Amino acid sequence: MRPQSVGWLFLAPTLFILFVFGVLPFIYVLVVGFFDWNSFAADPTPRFSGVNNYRELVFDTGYLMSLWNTLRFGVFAVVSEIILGYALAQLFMRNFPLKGFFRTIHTLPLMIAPVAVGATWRLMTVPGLGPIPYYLDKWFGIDFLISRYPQQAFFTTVVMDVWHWTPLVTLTLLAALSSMPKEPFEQAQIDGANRFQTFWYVTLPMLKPAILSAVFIRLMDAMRTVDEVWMLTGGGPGAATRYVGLYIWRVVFPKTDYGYGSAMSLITLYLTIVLCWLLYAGLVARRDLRRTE
Amino acid sequence: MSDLPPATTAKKPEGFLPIHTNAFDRVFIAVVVFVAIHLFWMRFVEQDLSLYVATVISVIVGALIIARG
Repeated sequence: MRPQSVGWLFLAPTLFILFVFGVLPFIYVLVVGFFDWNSFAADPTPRFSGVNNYRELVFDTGYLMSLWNTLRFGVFAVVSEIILGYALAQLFMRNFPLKGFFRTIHTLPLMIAPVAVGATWRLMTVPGLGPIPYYLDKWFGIDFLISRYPQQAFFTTVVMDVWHWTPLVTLTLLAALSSMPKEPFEQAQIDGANRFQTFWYVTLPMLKPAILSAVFIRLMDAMRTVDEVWMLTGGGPGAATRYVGLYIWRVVFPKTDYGYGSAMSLITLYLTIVLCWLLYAGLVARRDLRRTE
Repeated sequence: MSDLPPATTAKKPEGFLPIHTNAFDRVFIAVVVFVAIHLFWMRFVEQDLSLYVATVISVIVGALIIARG
């Protein structure tokens, strides 16, 4: 057997799984997106409707609003996670008493299922039971009620996401910081660079691949968040936290509008890919272009 | 002394896109632009002009990106 055939033979199981669980469902959703298919309708059989689902989608204010809310959520959550994650990674690079213990505690949220995280935060924010409304009222006089105030609900979902996923960013950046060579920092010190200059011209460029990986992973995750938010706010009050995943879920499951749900899923996937690609093109590809000039 | 010819510094021709691309990148960008033009058209222009016009424009733009991007 030729070596090339052996390679393909080893790859075959992975390719098969990828095809069955990745490519086939994608093609199925792509096809269903062009059909009118609602099992609660008078005619529950799928009927080809061309681009009508997409035509309806671009005028659907509920969907567009959920997209805008998701983008806001993603930007607030990811930026906070990167800043906090970097600060914590720098902290864990230093030696202090009980460092191992704190690192373990800090990593624990990663091991909790999103549904459990949502339920925990729900308990913590219930008025009369949870500590968050109690202490916010006692210390700052804030009337904290996420079932009434949209902004509070929105920022509580952001804080919950930050609490849950910052450890992932910390671990990613910690690994990157640990593997950095010492020479560029010594060189910067010899050249008289201050702390900010060292950070801006040495640390940040070397950390860029790790930061970008963390941003892409977290942005994609934030664009499809459902379960945590569903447990915490149920998408409310009103539509304040009805992020795009929740909106699609409502269309596909309770309303059984499979065609329209598929179209929305595809457009959401499209926007996620375009967003990540734009980030990549803006932050990485342009730099590569400059370097070759 | 080596008999090798002097190293050439001839640059590969650059396309009009502001980033380095290979064929796959350009096809990807063409597909992204195709979808974007159609969505934009359905939202803002279709009341006046048929969606087929958007398809023709998208195909031309896509071909341009793939060939010259």
